[in-house]
Amino acid sequence: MRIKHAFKNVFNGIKTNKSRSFLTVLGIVIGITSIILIMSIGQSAKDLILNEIKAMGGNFVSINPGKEMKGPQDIAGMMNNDSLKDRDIRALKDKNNVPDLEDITPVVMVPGNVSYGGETYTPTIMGWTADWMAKLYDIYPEKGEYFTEDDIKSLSAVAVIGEKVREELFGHTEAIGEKIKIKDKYFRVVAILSSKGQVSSFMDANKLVIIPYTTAQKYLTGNDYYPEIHVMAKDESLVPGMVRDIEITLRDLHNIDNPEDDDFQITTSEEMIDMISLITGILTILLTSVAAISLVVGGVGIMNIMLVSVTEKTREIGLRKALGARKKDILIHFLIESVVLTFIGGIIGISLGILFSYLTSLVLSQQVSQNWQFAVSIPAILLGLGVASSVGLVFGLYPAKKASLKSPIEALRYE
Amino acid sequence: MSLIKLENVKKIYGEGEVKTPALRGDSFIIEKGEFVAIMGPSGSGKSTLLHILGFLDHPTSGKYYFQGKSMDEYTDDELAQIRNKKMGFIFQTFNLLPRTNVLDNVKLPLYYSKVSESLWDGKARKALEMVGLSHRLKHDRSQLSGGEKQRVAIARALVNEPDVIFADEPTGNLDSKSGQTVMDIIQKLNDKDHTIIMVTHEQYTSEMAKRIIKLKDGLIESDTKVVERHFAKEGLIK
Repeated sequence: MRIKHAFKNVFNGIKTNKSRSFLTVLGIVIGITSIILIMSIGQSAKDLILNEIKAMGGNFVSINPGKEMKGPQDIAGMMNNDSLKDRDIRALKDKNNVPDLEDITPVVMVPGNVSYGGETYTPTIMGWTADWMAKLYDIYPEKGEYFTEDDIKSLSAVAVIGEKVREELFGHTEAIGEKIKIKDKYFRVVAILSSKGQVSSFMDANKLVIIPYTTAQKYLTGNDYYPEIHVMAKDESLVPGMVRDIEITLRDLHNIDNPEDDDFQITTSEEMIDMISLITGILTILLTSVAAISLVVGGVGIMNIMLVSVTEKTREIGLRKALGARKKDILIHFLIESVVLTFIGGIIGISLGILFSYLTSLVLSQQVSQNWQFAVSIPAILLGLGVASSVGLVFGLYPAKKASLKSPIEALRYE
Repeated sequence: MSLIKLENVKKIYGEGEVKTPALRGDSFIIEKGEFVAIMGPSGSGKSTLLHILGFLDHPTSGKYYFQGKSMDEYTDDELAQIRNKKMGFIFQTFNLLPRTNVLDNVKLPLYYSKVSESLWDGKARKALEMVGLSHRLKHDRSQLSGGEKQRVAIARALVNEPDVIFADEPTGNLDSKSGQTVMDIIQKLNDKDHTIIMVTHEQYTSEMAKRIIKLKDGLIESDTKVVERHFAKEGLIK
C-alpha cells in the first residue's frame, strides 16, 4: 500500500463524515487545549516570579524568624516568630561578624488603614528603610525624598506613599508635607513613589505606605521583633560565605549549638528561584495530568468511532484483501485514519490552546501584574502533537488489528 | 505444468455438531487459456469453489496446486501477492469503492503491487479502453449504470495483467443488454489468451464458455466441453 494513497483515502473519508469526525476529535481537542493552556499559564507565572526575584539581584538575602518546617513537630517552632530583634541587626551590622554584608534592614508589617481628612484607604503599610525601594526595584520618589537613616534613628513620623494612596486620599490637592493618620498617629508625607506600579506579584508600589521601621514598632505594632530582615551582600559571589557568617553570628547570639535547632531561616534569591521553580513545576505537572485524563476519554471516543468505521468498511476491507492488500496494509490504513484524526485534533487543540493562553494573559496582565507575559513553550506544542498522535496510535490499534484480521470472503459476504 | 490442479478438495463449514459440507472431494485440472463455467443450483458449492480457487478461502482438506505449487506452502502475505499479481476478480455486486472515481477504482490493485507509480495512470487508462469506458474516467460510481459499473470492475481485474480472471455471476445483477456487453468483453479477453473461470447459474451464459463444470451438492456432476458455443456479440437468444 502506498502511504500517499492511504492518506488520500483517509482525508476523503473525513471530508465525507465531517460532523462525525469533528465530534470524534472534540475530546482530543479539549484535552490538548487544556494542556497547552495550563502549561502556558504555568510558564508565564514561573517567568514572572523568577524575573521579579532576579530583578532584586542575586546578592539579596532574607532572614525570617522561626524554625524551618520539616514536619508536624516543627509547627510550634514556626509559630514562635519573635526570635529576630534589634540586637540581631546590630550584631549582623558588625564587620567583625559579617564582613561581606553591604546593607541590612528589618521589615515590619503594619495592618490597618490610613486616613486624611474624610478619606480612608487600606494600603500595604510597611515599616522599612525607604531607599531599599531604589536598591531592590529601582523605584525612586516622583516627588520629595525618601526618609533617611537619621529619621529612622530618631523615630520620625514620616511616610512615603504610593501613587494610588495619594490619589485616594488627596485627589488633586498637594500631598507632600500633609499629615496622614495611621491608627492614632500622624505621619508627614515626605515622598510619593513614581508610579511604576506592580513591582512583584506580592507588592504593588502604588498601594504602598512606607514608614521608618523604628517608628512602626514603637507607635503602631508595639512589639520589638521583626517578621523579616533584608540583607544585601557586597557581591553575588560572596552570598554563600555571608550566609555562613550570618548563621554563626545568630546561633552565637541565640545560644544555639545544633543547627537543627535554628530559630531563623535564611533564604537566598537562588533558593527562592529553586523553590518557585519546584512549586510551579509540580503544579504544572499536576494540572497537566488532570488534563491528560480527558485525553484518555478522547481516546476511547476515537476507538469507538474507529470500530464503527471498521464495521462500515467491512466490504471494502474484503475487496481490498481480494485485490491483494495484506494484513499489514489494512492495519496501516486504519492506523493512519485514527492518527490523522487525532493529529488534526491536536493541531486544533494547540491553536485553541494558544488563543486561550493569549486571551488569559491579556486578562492576567490587567488583573495580576503588568509584567505578566504571554508564553507558549515549544516543548508544550511538541508534547501536544506527540500525545495526540500517540492517542490515535494506541486507541486506533485495536480497531485496526480487528480490521486486518477480517477474512476476505467473510468481509465480501457482509451486507 | 497446469495452471490449476485440484485434488480431492473438501470444504466443510461449521464445527462440532453442525457441520455443513460445501465441497465433498472435487478434483480437476484447468490449463492456461481455458474458459471454464462453473454451473449449478444455489447451494451446490460453486461460489465456495471459486473462492478457494481465488485464494480467498482455504480448503478443509485436499490439495490445490496453483502453477505447480500447493496453496498451503504460501504464507498469507504471499497469497495476497498472488491474488494481486496473478488473479483478477469480478463480482456480482461490482464492489466499486464509493466516492472514488472510475480511474482510481481501476488503480486500486496497483496500490498493493510493486508496479512503479508512474505507470499506474497508463495501465488504468489502457484497461478502461479495453472495456470501452475511456470517456468516463472521472465519473463517480453513482453516475454509472450497472453495466458500466461491471465494466469498470473488469478493467480493475485486468489492470495488473493477471494469469487468471475469476468472475462470480458477472451478469447476475445486469439487464440482458448490459450482460451481453459484459460477456462480449469477457469472451474477447479469453480470445487474448486470458484464462477465465466464471460461476453462473444461467445455462445460456455458461454456454459462452468453452468448458462447463456442473456441481451438485458439492460434487462434480459433469465436466464437458461446450459443443455449440454462444457468442455474445451475435446477440442474446434466450
